[in-house]
Formats: sequence, structure tokens, C-alpha cells
Amino acid sequence: MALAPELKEILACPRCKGDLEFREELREIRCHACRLVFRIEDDIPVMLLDEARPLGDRPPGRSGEGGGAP
Amino acid sequence: MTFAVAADAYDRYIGRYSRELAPRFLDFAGVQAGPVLDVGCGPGGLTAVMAQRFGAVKVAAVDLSESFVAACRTRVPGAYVRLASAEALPFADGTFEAALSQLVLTFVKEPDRMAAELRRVVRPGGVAAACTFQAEGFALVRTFWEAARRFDPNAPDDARLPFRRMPELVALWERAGLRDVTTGHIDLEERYADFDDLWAPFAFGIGPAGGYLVAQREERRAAIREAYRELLGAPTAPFSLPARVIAVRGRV
Repeated sequence: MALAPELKEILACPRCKGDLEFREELREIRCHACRLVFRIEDDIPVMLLDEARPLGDRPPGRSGEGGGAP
Repeated sequence: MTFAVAADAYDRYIGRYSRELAPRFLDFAGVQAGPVLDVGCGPGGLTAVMAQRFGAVKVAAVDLSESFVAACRTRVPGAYVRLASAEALPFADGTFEAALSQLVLTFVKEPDRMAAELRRVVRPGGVAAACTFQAEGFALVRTFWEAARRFDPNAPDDARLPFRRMPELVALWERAGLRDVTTGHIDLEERYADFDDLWAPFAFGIGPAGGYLVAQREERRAAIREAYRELLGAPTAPFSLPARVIAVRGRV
């Protein structure tokens, strides 16, 4: 199921509460102000700051969970 | 201590109390219309009742546990459910008519931030409400610690957990700047088919009591089980246990 349009409008970044860009083809939601990428997993947006990755980084590999510290 | 458990395990332990609680908590909150938000939705006990009343498309829900989010989505098709922290909600200011949180506050790391977030995402004039089990009023867990302390005087006790007493709830809501703060009790009674219906879910390791139990040696676990059964009067027929829930609401 794609993200319900009426709720897309109310989604905001959990950090800055600002607007988000939906890139459903990439299974991503982006906050450009915070430069964060939230992944969409099994149609569930993972809106957790702990699990967001910096915009511009490559997505971590499946085995790379938690291993991406600079 | 964990809540990262299969949704059906949680439902057999705590979630079963939600069936009776959720509609009454929603009544207490006095919510008349959506959109509404369920913070810490678990497998969706409250989310489902919100969807019945306001329509699923008017309901959003968040939880930190992936298995709960998946279960809630299955239980409440059409509701918007996502993985998010109660302390950093992914919604713009003033989005909802009401934000409710059922049986969650005790386990939140930063309750003041959570209260502030509930207030923030509700429109001016809307409602923020929360409820928890009262310290001494939750027979299922109180009896467990009574049994455990027979063998271990230092066994922890859910009654010592935060937000199990009304003044704490009121103070939290007032610190968050909510107006017209009011409180209420919701008295529940849950029915058990037999003692194992009650006991089996403790072995899933859910919450403080389950976590304590699974950390004990087998003989101790068996002794606590026997003590618990005895405290209930060794029931041989179906029986009920009371649970008192305390609730707080305020206006944004």
C-alpha cells in the first residue's frame, strides 16, 4: 500500500518538524533542512532519528547495521 | 526489560486489557472527531477503536517496535502507522484534534519530551491524554511481585515505576503547559480461563515482571509460579482480576 495522500500532508521531520520529500521509488523520505534520509521498510516509514542516515551517504548494506560510524 | 516481542504474546499478557480499556479511555479523553494520534500504539488496541469511531483514514499511530507496527497495520487497515519515537513525533504542529497514549508513559525515557510532543502536534483547543496502570491497582503484576518477594526481598516492583500515581501524571501534564488538566479512574476486570492462561505470558519475558522471571533459575521460577497460584487461592474455575487505570487529560 502506498502512503495515504491525506497523511502525507501531515508528515513532518521528527527533528525539525519541517516538510519532507517523498521518494517512494527509492523507499526513502528525505528532510533537506536536516539532511536526513528516513527509509521506508515494508511500506512502513521508519521515522526514527537513530535510524536515519545523512543525506548523500550510500544506504548501508544489509549487514552494515550500526557499522556506519564515521 | 523488553517490549520487542511478538504482538500476540503482548496481547495475551497486557493487550487483553486494552479491549475494555481503549473505548473507555477514548470516552474519558472526550474526543469528538479526527484526526487523532495514538502514541505507543502497540498491536493497535486503541488504534482500532479510534478507527471505528473516526474512520481509519483519520487515525495515525506510532510505536518504537517493528513487530507492533506491523501488527497494528494488519489490525487496523487504512490507518497510518509508522515507526517513530514518542519523544520526536514526525508530525507538524497542530496536526491532530487529539493525541492519546495508552499504557505507555511508564516506559518512556524522556516523559517530559513526550508530553511536550503530544501538546505540540495537537491543534489549539484539542486534547492530549494519557493513562497508565495505577501502582497498587494492577492485580496481575502486583500479585507477581508479591509472589517474587517471598523469595527475593529485593525483587523490583512495578509500583516503584514512574507515573503509576495520579499526582505524577497531573504534574507532568501541567509542566507541559496543558490547560484544564483533569483526571479519572478506569476500573477494568479481565477474565482468565484458568491459571495457565494467566501465567503462560509471564514466560515471554515481557515488561519488568516477565523480564525478571525469565532471568531466574528454573526452581525459582517454579516457586514463584506456585506462590502466585496460592495467592490467587489456587483457582480451579475461570476467574477475574481487577486492574485500575489512572488517566489524565488536558487542553492545548
